Formats: sequence, C-alpha cells, structure tokens
Amino acid sequence: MNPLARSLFKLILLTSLQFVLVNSATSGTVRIASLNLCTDQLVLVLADSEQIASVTFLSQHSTSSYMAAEAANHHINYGQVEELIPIRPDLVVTLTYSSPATLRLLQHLGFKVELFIPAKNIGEVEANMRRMAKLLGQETRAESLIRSMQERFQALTSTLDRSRIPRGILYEPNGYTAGVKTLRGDLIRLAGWHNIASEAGIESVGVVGLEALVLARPERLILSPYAPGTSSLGHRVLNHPALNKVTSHPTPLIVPAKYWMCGGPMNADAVTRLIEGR
Amino acid sequence: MDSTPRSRLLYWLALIVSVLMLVSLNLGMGQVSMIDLFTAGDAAAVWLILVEIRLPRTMIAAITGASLGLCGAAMQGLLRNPLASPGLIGSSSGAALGAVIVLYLGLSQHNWLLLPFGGMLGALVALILVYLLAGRDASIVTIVLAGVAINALAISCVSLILNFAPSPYAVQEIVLWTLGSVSNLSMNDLWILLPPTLLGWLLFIGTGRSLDLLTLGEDTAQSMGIDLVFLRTKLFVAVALCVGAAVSITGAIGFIGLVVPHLLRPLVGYQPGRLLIASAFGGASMLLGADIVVRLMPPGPEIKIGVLTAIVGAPFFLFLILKTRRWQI
Amino acid sequence: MLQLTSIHVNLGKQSILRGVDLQVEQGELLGLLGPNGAGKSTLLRCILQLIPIAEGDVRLEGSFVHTIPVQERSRKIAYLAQHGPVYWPISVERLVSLGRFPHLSSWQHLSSQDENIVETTLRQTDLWHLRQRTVTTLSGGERTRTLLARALAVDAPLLLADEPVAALDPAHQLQIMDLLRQYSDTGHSVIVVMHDLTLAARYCHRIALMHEGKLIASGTAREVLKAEHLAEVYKIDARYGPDDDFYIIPWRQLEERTLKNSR
Repeated sequence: MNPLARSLFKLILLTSLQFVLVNSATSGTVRIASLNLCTDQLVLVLADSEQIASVTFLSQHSTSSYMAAEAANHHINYGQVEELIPIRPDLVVTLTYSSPATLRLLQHLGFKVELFIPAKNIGEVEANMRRMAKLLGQETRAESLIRSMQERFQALTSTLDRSRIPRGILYEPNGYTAGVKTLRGDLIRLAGWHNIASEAGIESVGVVGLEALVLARPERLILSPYAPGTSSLGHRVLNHPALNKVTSHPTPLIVPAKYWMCGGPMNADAVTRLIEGR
Repeated sequence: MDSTPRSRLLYWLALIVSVLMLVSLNLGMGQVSMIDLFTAGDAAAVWLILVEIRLPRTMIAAITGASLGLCGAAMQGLLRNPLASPGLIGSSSGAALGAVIVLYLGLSQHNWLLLPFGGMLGALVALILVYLLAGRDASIVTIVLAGVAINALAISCVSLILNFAPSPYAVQEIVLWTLGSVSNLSMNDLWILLPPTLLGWLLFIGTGRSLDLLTLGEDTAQSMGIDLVFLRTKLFVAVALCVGAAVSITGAIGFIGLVVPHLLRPLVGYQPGRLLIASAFGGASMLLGADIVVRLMPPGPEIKIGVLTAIVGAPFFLFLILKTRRWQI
Repeated sequence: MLQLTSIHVNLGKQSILRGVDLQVEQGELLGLLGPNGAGKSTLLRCILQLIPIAEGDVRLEGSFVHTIPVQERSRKIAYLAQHGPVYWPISVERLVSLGRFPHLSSWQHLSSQDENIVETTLRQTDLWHLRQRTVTTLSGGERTRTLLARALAVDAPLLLADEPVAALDPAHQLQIMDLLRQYSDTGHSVIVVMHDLTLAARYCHRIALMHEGKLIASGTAREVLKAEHLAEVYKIDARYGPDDDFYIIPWRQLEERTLKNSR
C-alpha cells in the first residue's frame, strides 16, 4: 500500500503547499522548483533536465504522477520551505490555492513566485502550458506538444459515434463527482459522454446521493481510484450493490487518476480511455 | 396485577417503531415512496432505492438503536448507575478504535467478520478497563471519570490511526467514527451487523431477573442465588458484541444508551429487568426518528446522525448530573 | 440446624475470624453481639459463602453449605444486609416480591401462591397500605420494615439479619424485634446482629458474644451479658436492673480507656 497517498490527498484537495526560494545568483538557464503535483507535471514535460531544481515527492509516485519516470532523478521536496533553501532555485511555481501563510513567507523572503490557476478545461490547460513554457524559455517545445495534443484530440473525436451518447458519471469515494466546469468534466464531454452530474445540478465539484444516482440511471460509472487497494468508509459507497444493479454495463470504467488529475498532454490518454469505455 | 399496563407499553413502543420504519422507508432525497412502485414509470429504480438503499438504512438504524438502548439499560442495571451507558463508559469509542484498526489496515478485505470482531474486542477492552479503573462499587462520579479517560484515549488513538492510514480519505472520516452515520449503508452492511448483534441479544435473555435482584446490592443479590461473576461476564460480552457490531457499521452514535433507559424507567416501575426490552424498542425509535429528521433537513451535505442524538442527549446528560448532584454530593 | 465448626477467615494478611464454633437450633432467635470489628458481619457473610473460609465448616441441616447448589441455598438462607441499599425507586410490593425470586426458575412468573405469601408478609409487617409507595419515599422505619419483609418473604428456614434495628427509634426497634421473634416462633431460625444489650436480652432465645474474631460466650442473656464479659469485650461498666426484669444500661467506660482518651 502507498503510505504517502494520504499526504497526496492533503496536497491536492486540501491545498496546503509550502515553499521557499532563494534569490537567483547564477546566470544562464532558469532553475525552477515546483511545490505542487500539477505544476510538477508541467515542469517535467516542458523543462530541460538541468532546469529542474526540485519537484514534489508525489511526482515520483506512479499512481498519481504521469511523469513519474521523468521525475525519478530529480531533487524532491515535501512541500517544506526549508527544503528549498540549499538548492537556491531561480523561480518557484505552485497552484493558486497554496496557503496564504506560505505565500506571505515566500514574499517576505524575497523569492520569485509564479502561481498557476488549476485548469478547468482543455483551453486552460494549453494556456498554462504556454505560460510555463515562457517562464522556462521553452516556447517551441510547448507549441509542438500542444499541436500534437490537439491532433490526438482531433483524431479521437472525429471517429466518435455521436448517434449514441452514453449516460455516465464520475463517482468517487463519499459520492463526489465532477461537473462541466472541471477539467475532468470537460474531458468526459469531449469523449462524447452525457455527464449526468449536470442533472443533479452539479457544475463544478459536488456530492451526488445514492438515491439521486439510482434515479438518474447512469449506464456506466466512471471511477478514478486515487489510492488503489486502500480501505476507508468513503470507498464503501463505491461498492454499494445498488450501483451495480442500476448500471446496464456490468463493470465501471476505470480511468487512472494520473491521466486527468492535472492538466497536460496526458489528458489525451484520459480521453482515449473514456472513448474506449463508451 | 400490574402487568397489563406494562405490556401495553411494549405494544405502544412496538407500534411506534413500526410506524417510524415505514416513514423511514418512504423518505429520502430521491423523493420516492412505496406508491411510486405502482405509479412511476421507472419501477425498477424505485425498487432498487427502496430495497437496496432505504431498507438496509432503516433496518440498521432500528437494530443499532435497539442495541444501544438495550446495552444502556443493562449497564445501568448491572452497575446500578444511571449514567452508565455505552457512550459514557467508553465501550463505543473502544469499539470505534477496534473497527478503525481493522478497516483502515485493510484487514476486513480478507474477511468481513473481522470488522465487527475488531469492534467487539475494542468495546470489551474498554469496558474492562473502565470497570477496573472505577472499581466494583464505584460511585457515579468515579465511573464517569474513568469513562471520560478511556473515551479520550480511544478517540485519540482513532485519530492517530486515521492519520497514518494509507487511504487518503481516512483523515476526513474521523467525524464519521466519533459521531456516527447511517447513510449510504447497504444490505452487505446489514449482513455484517446481524450475526454478532443477534448473538449479543440472545445473551441478554434471562438476565432481567438478576438485574432486578441487583436493585438490593450485590451481597443480597448473591444471597438470592445470583452468580455475579457469571452475570457480569455474560453482560460484558453481550454489550461488547452488540456495541462492537453496531459501531463498526455506523460509528459511535452517542447518548441513546443514556437517554432512552432514563425516559422509560418510570414507565416500567423502575424495574431494571422490564427496562431491557422497553429500552430496545425505545432506542430503535430514537435512532429511526433521528435518521428521519436528518433526511428532512434541507438538501446539502447530510448532517451526521450523531450530531442530532448529541443535541438532544447532551443537555439531557447535564440535567441528569444536576439531578443526581442533589443527593450525591 | 446450623453448625459452624472452627471457622477461620482471613482478609489479606489480617485474620478476621479465629476459630468460631456456633450452633443454631430450629426455631431459635440468636442474638450475635460484640463490638464493631469483632467479626459479626464476616461470620454472616461466610455462612452465605460470600467470602472464602480459610478453615472450618459450615453445615446447614447436616450438609456442607458449599455443596448445596446456589439456587437451593438461596431458598434456605435469607439475608438482610447491613444498611440495605436500594438502588432504584421500585414499589414496596415489588421489592418484597423480589424475595420470591429464589423460588422461581428464570422463566416462571410469580404464582398465585407466591403472591399470597407476598400479601401475607406485607400485612404481617404492616406494609399493606404502603404497597404502592416507592421505597425512596419511605421513612427509616418503614424502609427497614420493607427490607425485612423482603427477607421474610423468602420463607427460608434460616434468616441472617445484619443490624436491622440500627438507627431506628425505640418503637420501630421493638416492631422489628417483634417481627423477628414471630418469625422464629413459626419454626424458622434467625441470627440477628445487634448492639442493644437490653433488646437482645429481652428478645433473643440465646446470645452469642464475639470479640476479636472469637466467640467469647454463648448462652442465655444472664450467662453471657454478665459484668465480666462486658468489661472484657466492650471495656464498659454496666448497671443491671432488678433480677426478674433483665435490663442493662451501659454506664461508663472503664478507667483505663477513659484515661487513655483524656490524654
């Protein structure tokens, strides 16, 4: 079992990332440190190896990080300010919902910090990639990645059978689901599903009750296990017999969390899965 | 001579439980009731909701409530102490600790019976600790103090284990274990709950008369043929089975075992033996009622049922303390 | 009927009873006297098998008490505990009918015969008019009478009463002693632990005097409660009434004690 998955949860959902930067003294390439799994993904996909000063320990976990292999040889941090001081990065990146205390501390210490807004759709994923590329001086690489990503989407969606729109819903422990105003909701829509979260009035993130779910009659549930193999009361609802009985498809569709938890080129893999599972 | 009005009490309580169960089956977020089985277009979905979602929820609420009421009445009779109850003397939080260890370490994936077993073991250990700490003829205050200590210890161990549990959702679930909830339960949970609970209930049979005799104190009761060691062991195991099973499914729902026996005691002429069955019905009614209120609340994240029982129970507890203070201190 | 042979009882390292021999006959009312801590209550408790006996035997109607099955023993020995706690405010009638429980198996309810006995006992003890009252609302005398009625309702051949008349006014003391005497007059044996010398002398067939875990003397009041014994056991000087009407007034503590205390 993954002993660090709990911290992953804190980092992503409870949004408390911390970091510190020391003034850049060297010239030449920008050395960047990331304090959030999602900025890790962008850094790892865009930067040259010598540009990466530090990424989070989560980026090395293959269940949560698509770029685990690339992260393997880099310096890792656990989100603590003091960890970054000896490595003296030129720039620190993280998501906007880092704790205000951490951000104040960083400013106080005079570090250069760039905050990224979590992408809510593919357009914002591309915008984030371009922004990160600009900070790293890797615009050419970003454009080529974005182009190939768009081509994959094009190829995937052009052959889509639009005569049949399956009714599906992302269902997570404790009954959480994602609506159209989330990255995952956008990918579900792109893959040609009807996301019944909207019928429950959920546009961003919310809870769908069991009864409402049964009444909405999904054809297939989409699961995205976060920490496979662990037990909790939250997982209990995923095994509720009523869920198996209400869906016409015998098994739920599994989309690995690392494909769409963060925005990036790997989102195309999520769409591939979603289309296969239609 | 006086048995008629008292058995009538049991009829009334049984009637209340049945009515509440019917209401519980017909109430929910889905706005579905039994009538929809015949009128709604999607009868299959209605059937699923009624049988797979609301039936287990209703049954588990009734059974858990009954167990808690019964255990409260039995503990109060055995210890001759109106404040003894699963929640106050630590058996509920002990059970929660046992169940948490089993669930979050993934042991229950191998064998589902391990979950109630963990709960039962935790409850038993907590009971014995409180009993040893407080001593045999402990005053009300001593028992409550020992219970507070064991409760605090068990709950902090629950938090500790949830913090180190591999599941990313564990930390959020502390609330579920300390307050309790009956939502999203399935028939699977009912089947886990049932065997140890029924076994526990069986052990209570025939203890009523011994509890009646304990009204006169342990020496007199023993002189009248009560084997105290046997009785104590039997009741501790019964309480551990019932509370352990209930808590491992619903979390530690508080105050039912305290409040229900108290409300019903005057109605059974203060006889500890008669109080047992009455408290079982009363506990079932109280938990079913609380669960109905939970579902009548405006939509949104569901309120934990333990919040409601505590809102009713905590002031009642204070009232009891004030009442006992008059002759205790 | 009851025979105690060389009873020794230890609590921890302390020896509480040191070789007590005592016999009680059928229909006898035996007063068990002695200073606080002499071992009177302990003696009753070891007849009831509530505490382990280190040495010696208790025989009831010829058979060893520890070999009599618990249920049967509970029908043969009734016990009225000292202070007699009542933990729940149950009714007088209900409390007295608890005395019939040893005669029932766990499924039986009170038979009409049991109810008759309860009613008779309530009337004998002058509690009939109070039967619906809860025990907590009774006066001290009524309460003691209720607890005694419970013990009488067992209808056991042997009744052990531990200080039933302590803390009662003279009228209620007489009432309780009358009831005990009546009970023994109907063929039951009674051991009553008490402190009132005159009352003991007046009611009991026989008196046993204990001191520091031993039986000092047993016999009639005149034989047992004589001045030397009272001086030895209680360290008191007592005044006696005229011979034909035996009463005793504890007059003053003996010299050595008074001196010690005044220092």
